[in-house]
Amino acid sequence: MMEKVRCGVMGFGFMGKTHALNLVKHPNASLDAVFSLGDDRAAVEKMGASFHEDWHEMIERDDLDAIVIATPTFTHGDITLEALEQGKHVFLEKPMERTVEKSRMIMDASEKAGVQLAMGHVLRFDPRYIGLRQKAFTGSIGTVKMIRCTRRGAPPSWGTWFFDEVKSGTVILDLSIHDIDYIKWMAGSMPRKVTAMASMLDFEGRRVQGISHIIMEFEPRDQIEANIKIELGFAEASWGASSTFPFSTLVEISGNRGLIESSVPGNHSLDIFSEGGHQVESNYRDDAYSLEMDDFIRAVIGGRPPKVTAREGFEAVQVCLAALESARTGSSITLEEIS
Amino acid sequence: MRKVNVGIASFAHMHAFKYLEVFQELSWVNVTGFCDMLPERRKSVQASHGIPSFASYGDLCHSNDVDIVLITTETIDHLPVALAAFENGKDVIVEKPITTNLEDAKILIKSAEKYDCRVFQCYPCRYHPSVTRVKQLMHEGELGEITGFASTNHGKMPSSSDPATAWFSSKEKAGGGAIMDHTTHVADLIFHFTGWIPRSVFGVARRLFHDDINVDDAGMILVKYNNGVAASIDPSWNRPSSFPIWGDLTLCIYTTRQTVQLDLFNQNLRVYSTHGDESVQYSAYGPDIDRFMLEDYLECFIEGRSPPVTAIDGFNALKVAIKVYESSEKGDIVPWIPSESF
Repeated sequence: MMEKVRCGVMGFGFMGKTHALNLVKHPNASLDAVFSLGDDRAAVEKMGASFHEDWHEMIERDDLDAIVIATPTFTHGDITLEALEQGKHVFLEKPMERTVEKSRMIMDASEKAGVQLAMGHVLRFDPRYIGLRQKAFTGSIGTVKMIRCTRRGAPPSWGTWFFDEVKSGTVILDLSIHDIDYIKWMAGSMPRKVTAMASMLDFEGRRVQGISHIIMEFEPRDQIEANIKIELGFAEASWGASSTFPFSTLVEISGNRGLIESSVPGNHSLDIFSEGGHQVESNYRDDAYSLEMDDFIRAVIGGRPPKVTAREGFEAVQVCLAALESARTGSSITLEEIS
Repeated sequence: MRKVNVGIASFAHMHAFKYLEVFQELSWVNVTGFCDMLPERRKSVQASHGIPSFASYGDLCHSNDVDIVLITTETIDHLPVALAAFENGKDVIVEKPITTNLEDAKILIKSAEKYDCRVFQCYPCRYHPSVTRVKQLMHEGELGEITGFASTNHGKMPSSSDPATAWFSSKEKAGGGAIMDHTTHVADLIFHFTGWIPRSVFGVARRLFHDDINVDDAGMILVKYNNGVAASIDPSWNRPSSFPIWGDLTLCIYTTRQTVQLDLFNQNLRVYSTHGDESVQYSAYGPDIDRFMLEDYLECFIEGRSPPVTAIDGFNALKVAIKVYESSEKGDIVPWIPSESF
């Protein structure tokens, strides 16, 4: 049994840096290598890792056990497939890929490769979302029938590729996927129908779906948990908020005997208001990003599947792309059309 | 100022009690009579307010002591009472939704025209100071171009076992359930802000939370406008009885320059008490929008001005709810199809 999982991180943007820091802190992992197209050599070497400008070269290293992939969505397929081919365990940031076809290739390859592939659907590790789920599962609001989630923020400032539909899949595949995966996880099944409408926004000279509203209809018979018979799921996601707007999320779980709701901002244990603006230091009991990385490391060491598998990453992409298609065509998309 | 004599057609809609309170606070308004078909309610209004009771809506509308009729009956009776009022040359203030269906709304609008009577449609949210402020910012060009709306109008279900409120969950008397009750407030606000006509509507109407009713208590709604902007509305009766307040009305307005979040009933005191079953209750201290609305309506009435919110506004808001039911039935997005002009 390996003592430490030797990791290389692909991409050094917001998520890449977050994962790299969590690997450095993890007692059973080490950050050995980072690939980036940016000017990050100094920062990477300061963390004790070697810097790569060529991602093939990093994957080919024999002294790495796992690759953490946090590059732009449309590059996930090529990198993941090569990493799996080289026998590396993979932690793959959401969304799995830009298309259903490439996502399916990743899923199939991971199942054949005999390694672990963990999907970075971070809400599944978020104490707030877990708390909501546990409370609902205990029957505290009777039988759960409906979930409504919103996710509002300013456009991402850390990359322009987000605004290229061909690369990112717009706000639906990049942002709404969080809530879509969460609702699907709550229901424990795929929706039978997806209908979406979206507003087109102008970003960086491109016109792209920037505010989306998605209705998912589920078949309650497919849901095996006693207290869960979800018929309706709703997810709103927005890149359309102004730059001073605090990133906000809301969840409402409705049952026939009650309601659980939670919204952020709010419920902070520490707020700091400085000249530069308002900063929330503590929102969560535990940090979900370090928890998801911990799960991946334990999965690799223990030889067990991670909490969020390739199949679930694949299904989340399927639903998102159905929503994208629905928003584009103005028709509902049924499960048969999704799969 | 001249005094206005108001006749109240029924307390079936609980807003009537609030409206009565407002009328009684205004020195220039007299409530000169009412009619209520529920004997217990009729007795209790007579006992507590000492207002003369009329045996029928027709008598109330015919009375020389009544200048204007407030119609707060079950929605199904809005049309016959309005027709009786018009035939007697009386203007009406009518609770929302205007009628249970579009055909009735058309008859109401045409009859008002024929008798040259005015219809004041109750949409009090337009009178919330926060709404007025946003409307003003839009007017001054301070807000950017609108890029999206996301909204809720949640509530508790009006009790189906209480004979006073059971009609709210009757398809026949109310025209539907939560969607009929709650879609129109938000639809009207968006119309008030933009004047936009939808291009298409998608909605899912379901009964998810209450076993004792035969109408929808849950809904999710998408609206696409002619300019491509999308909106969503959640009109569900998903607030359980223990919820600390009746419900909410929230509207997020995305624009190219600002993001505006309205939460109209968010100004509340939190009351913790050992009385009753609930551990916490919210007590509203926000603006009295019903009073703002009725004062304005009655001033318009006296001064002979046009209604600020018309029957046609009522028709357009109702049409959104009707389209949602149509979409839910078909299971797909339905086109708006412009109505005949009035």
